Amino acid sequence: MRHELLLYAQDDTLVDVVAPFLEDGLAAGDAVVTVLDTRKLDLLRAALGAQAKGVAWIDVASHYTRPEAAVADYDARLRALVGDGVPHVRLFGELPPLRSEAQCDAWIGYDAILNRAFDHHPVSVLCGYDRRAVPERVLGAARTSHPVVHGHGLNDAFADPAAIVRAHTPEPEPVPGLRTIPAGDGARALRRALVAAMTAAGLGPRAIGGMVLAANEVVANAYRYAGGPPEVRAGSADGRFVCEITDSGTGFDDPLAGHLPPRARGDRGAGLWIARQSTSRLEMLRGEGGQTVRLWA
Amino acid sequence: MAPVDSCVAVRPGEHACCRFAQAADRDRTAAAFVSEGLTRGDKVVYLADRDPEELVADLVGGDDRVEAAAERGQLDVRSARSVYAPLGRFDVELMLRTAREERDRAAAEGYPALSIIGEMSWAGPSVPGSELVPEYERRLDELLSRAGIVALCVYDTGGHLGPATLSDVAGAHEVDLSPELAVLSHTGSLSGARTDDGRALRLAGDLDFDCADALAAVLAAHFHGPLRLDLTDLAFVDVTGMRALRGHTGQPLTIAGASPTVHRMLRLLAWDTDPGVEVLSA
Repeated sequence: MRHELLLYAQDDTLVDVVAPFLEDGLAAGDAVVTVLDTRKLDLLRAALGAQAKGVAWIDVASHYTRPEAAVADYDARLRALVGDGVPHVRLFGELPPLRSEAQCDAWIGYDAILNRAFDHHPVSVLCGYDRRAVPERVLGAARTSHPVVHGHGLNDAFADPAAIVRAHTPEPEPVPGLRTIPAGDGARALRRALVAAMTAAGLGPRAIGGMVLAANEVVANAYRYAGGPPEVRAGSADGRFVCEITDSGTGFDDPLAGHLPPRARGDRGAGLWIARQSTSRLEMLRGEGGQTVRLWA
Repeated sequence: MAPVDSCVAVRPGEHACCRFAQAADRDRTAAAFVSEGLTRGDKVVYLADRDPEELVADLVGGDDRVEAAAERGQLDVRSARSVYAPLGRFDVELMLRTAREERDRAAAEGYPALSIIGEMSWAGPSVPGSELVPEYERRLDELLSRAGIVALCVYDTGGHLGPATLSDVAGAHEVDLSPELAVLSHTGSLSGARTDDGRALRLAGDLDFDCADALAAVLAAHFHGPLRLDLTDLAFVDVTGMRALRGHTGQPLTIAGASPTVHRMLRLLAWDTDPGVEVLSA
């Protein structure tokens, strides 16, 4: 994988750098993918002219609302292309509009995670960061999350992806008022209890299915690594359904846990990956009595 | 949802065989079959080797709908021997006629279908005609393929019929809850059956980390080489359960009946691009 940062402040620069990047890919027989807002997609499409039809053009707003989904989607695309015999993939992409501090942190972590998630894929990723639109602290983080900076070569400021994710994972606040759900009667009883609680809270089948799967995976990890039934609490906070699972183990400290896609036949644990993919947010809290995973529907 | 915390990998309209080695396995399968029949609104006829009143009492313990169903006649428990061998001997034509009559009666009573479970431990030297049981099962299989009826025929592997006869009998059913699959139901609520002449494995219920080890052990011991799976009736599957499907050897899989949830799981686990996994479209 090659992962390169393009910082720019003018449409002309975008076109001057990215159009040749895409055209060279097409000439080399690469699969070529572009993920951008629709205005910039049009600019690049126009610049490529007749060659534009060889590129997959994807509207970032409609496809990449969550970093977790973006990683999974890219991974599936890359695997499918490689499986179809494509020798190499070129990808130019930008982040979706960032509307909150939490989104800034999440997408900063995302660009760091790509280094580890796709390091085995034959892919060149060029990430566009538009100085006119991207908040300054996100630009600063991008200078540390890319091993290569366009126009400068190897990036001396490149930092450990895990450290970047750790620095941009907010410390979770306690959520009071959750009620204990009996978890000692087996996984199925717990799943049923969760379905009942979420149905009573008015959630739909998609949110319920995702939460039940995620909680089940976290509970499975508790049995496997902490050796016994965890304590499970659930309820509503800030108008959202929350489920907390606390095991009695020593826990572990891996900021990338659950962020990396499993590889075929790999033995990497996939439970937290599934849990992150199936809920809107997953938080980890380490306390004195054990580790807590908090899932938000 | 059926109150019984187990399920059975048999669908409406099917003719299934359950061979059991432990009475507890028979009881679990039978209770699930009865509960699923009641949930569908079927007339449920249970031809029992045991005392009908005791059997109903046992079933009530697992499903509180059973008592009311028995009172209004939706559940009808009868002595197996008195139905299969009313005159002291087993007569194929007579029993096939009885099956048709029961089906027609259930329809006349307004039930959508008949769920019938028959315990076959009466078959043996003391009942003349027992040697015709395999022929009866083949004829019943033809009858069932075009009727509003689901049947579960229950055989004791320690009974009077020898292994060769039982194997012959099992082959006369389109669905075979063969004895080595019973362990899948011991924890959680998974049920397995062999279909397509024993070449495919159907799983129903919840395939979770509680029963994943049991499944992996069954696959390692009894399913060698490429594995054909039917996951249509799977209600839930988690990562540990998915991993168990590859057994201990990572054997090639063909998966039929993958729900949207299973498809998503296949994609998230990168099995969708694994050359060892073929997913058949519906």
